[in-house]
Amino acid sequence: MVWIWAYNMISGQYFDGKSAKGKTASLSWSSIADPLVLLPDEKLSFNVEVKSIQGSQVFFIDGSSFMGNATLPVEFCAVYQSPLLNWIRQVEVFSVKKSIILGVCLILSLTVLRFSVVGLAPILTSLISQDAEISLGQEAYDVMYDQHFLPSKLSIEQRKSLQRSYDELWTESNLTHKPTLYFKQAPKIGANALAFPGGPIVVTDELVHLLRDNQLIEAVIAHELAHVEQRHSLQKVVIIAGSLAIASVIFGAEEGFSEELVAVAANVYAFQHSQRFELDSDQYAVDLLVKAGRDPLAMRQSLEVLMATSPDDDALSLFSTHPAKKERLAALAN
Amino acid sequence: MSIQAKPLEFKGHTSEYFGIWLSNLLLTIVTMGIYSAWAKVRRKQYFYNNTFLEEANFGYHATGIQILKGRLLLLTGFIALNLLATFFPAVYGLVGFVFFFLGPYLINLSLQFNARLTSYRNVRFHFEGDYLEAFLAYIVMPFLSIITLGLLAPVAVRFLLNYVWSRVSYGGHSIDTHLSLTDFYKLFGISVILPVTSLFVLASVLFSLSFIQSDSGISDNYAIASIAPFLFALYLYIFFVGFVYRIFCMTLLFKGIAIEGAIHFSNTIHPGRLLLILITNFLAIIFSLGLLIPWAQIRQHRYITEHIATYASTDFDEFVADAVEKQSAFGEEFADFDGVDLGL
Repeated sequence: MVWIWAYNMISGQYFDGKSAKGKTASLSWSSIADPLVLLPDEKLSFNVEVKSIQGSQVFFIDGSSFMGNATLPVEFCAVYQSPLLNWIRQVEVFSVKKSIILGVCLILSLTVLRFSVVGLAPILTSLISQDAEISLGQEAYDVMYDQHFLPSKLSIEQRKSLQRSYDELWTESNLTHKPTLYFKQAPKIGANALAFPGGPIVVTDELVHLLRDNQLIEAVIAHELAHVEQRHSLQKVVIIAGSLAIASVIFGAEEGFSEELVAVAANVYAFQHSQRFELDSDQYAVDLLVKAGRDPLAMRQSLEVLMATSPDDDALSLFSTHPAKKERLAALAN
Repeated sequence: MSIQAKPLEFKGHTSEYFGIWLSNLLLTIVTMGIYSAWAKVRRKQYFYNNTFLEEANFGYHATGIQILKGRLLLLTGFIALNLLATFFPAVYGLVGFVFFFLGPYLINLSLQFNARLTSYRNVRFHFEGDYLEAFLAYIVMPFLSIITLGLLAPVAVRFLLNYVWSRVSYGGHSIDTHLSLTDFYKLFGISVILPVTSLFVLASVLFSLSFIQSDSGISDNYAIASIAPFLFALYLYIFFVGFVYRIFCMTLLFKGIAIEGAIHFSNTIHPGRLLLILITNFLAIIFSLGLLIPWAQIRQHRYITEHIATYASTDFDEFVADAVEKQSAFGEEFADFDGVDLGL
């Protein structure tokens, strides 16, 4: 049996790799041999191994190249590129159906990554020693102290009373170390309580004035103890760092503003996890109040007071580190 | 020697690039980021291969492995520095000091790498860096811009572009740069000073209004959340101003570079039209959640490319014939390490 192999011809220019001057040439190729460059003027022909194919150009292993008069045919690329590259080129060819399939795969992959980061955050956080977390929290507190806190003007009796309640709540918690509880004036922050990684916990004078009732303040302290015990601050750092790492890896191939925007989007996305931590802490606070023999409804009442003084702004929910108070109240009601 | 004007040509299509972009993203995720090095090569090749000067396109010859090596090198350095900072703070300070002075050298390596891997008619570009000049361009001049509150920023940008482009050569011919400082000052005034000042005025007005309206001193947990959208908008705005400034600086560059006796460039880019394209691209990307990135990139690249006029002399063919490769492309692989793309 005799096989007859068809040779195909492509017209273009040949560059010898030493000069930019091209020579009119033809490229003869088949599926069984290296391509043959034919130079009609010099009646010269030679076989060369392909190094890479780029659009209308084919670069050979000896440094020479051939530039076709049009984009090189797919069949040519199929013969001289590795099977893996051919597969990638096939995937790249645009069609609506393929784009939809690829888009769905992309969304699925992103979803898997999203849950991986959230799922891995507690595990990664557990690898960080408690001492490191406490020193991180102390550093953060020192920075905030200089910028936002002033000595408390609450009476010594009131502070002592709240400190006793805190001691009782802490005894019922699962914390092995005891975070320091501070009372501070914070005109810039306002009515608020803050839990730094590993402690300390800060309750502002403004919050005490707003809630008035010690039971309601205890509920807020129980909520902050939950943040410390469940290492929420550290988990947030891990989630933000993880989201940014994934975003920069995925969009590493992109330069310019898309990468920057993804970094911002990753931060906004990380805010959402903060909201989950708040709901968890509310529930934990209720349980802790019950264990300490306090009224569990205090958590709900403290939220209601906060809601009365500063209602939710739905437009801001995307950016909020806390879920809407309405949502928190509904969760507590359940 | 007669001169004829001809635009650069861009033959890319959004549909083609969309497929490349989407598969790049997907393969990058599936390979946990490893493919991103190859994705970068693929993306650059698409734009280079579809940009034509005098009926010949450009080539890009980096390989994914080279880019990956560069990234791994950076990552290793970063981890090593962090470990040093944790366990040997004193040594870390010293290493940081060394890195400060190593920066310009690394930038030169990166520029050399990128030039060497770009070809036109199968002849590679070359970049010959100078440490002291790079130190001035990348460290001293930016520092001077900061301490003069931006007054010297146009001088610094012009110095940097001048440094980079006057040291690029093709086939033994250096690129000449004639960048007008007045143009850079005009551009800085219009595209940076004006928008930033307007923002400052607007922010002051809004701040005083909100101060008057606040009826109680009590803020709450939501204090940060309430300013977050404004911070987000501010970030986008400043980022956009910086982005537009960078693009316009590049357009100025194409008014002032030439290869003597062979080719010079000019541009017919209309600033208003380009700004409109950049703004609509920006909005399209945001509202399509990134899906229109390929369309925006192709649109911007096409507009800029096709409005850069090239004036090739009739001696261009002679110039091309005379353009000789200084270093054989054969053996490029052995020079990988000293030319890794550090992503600088």
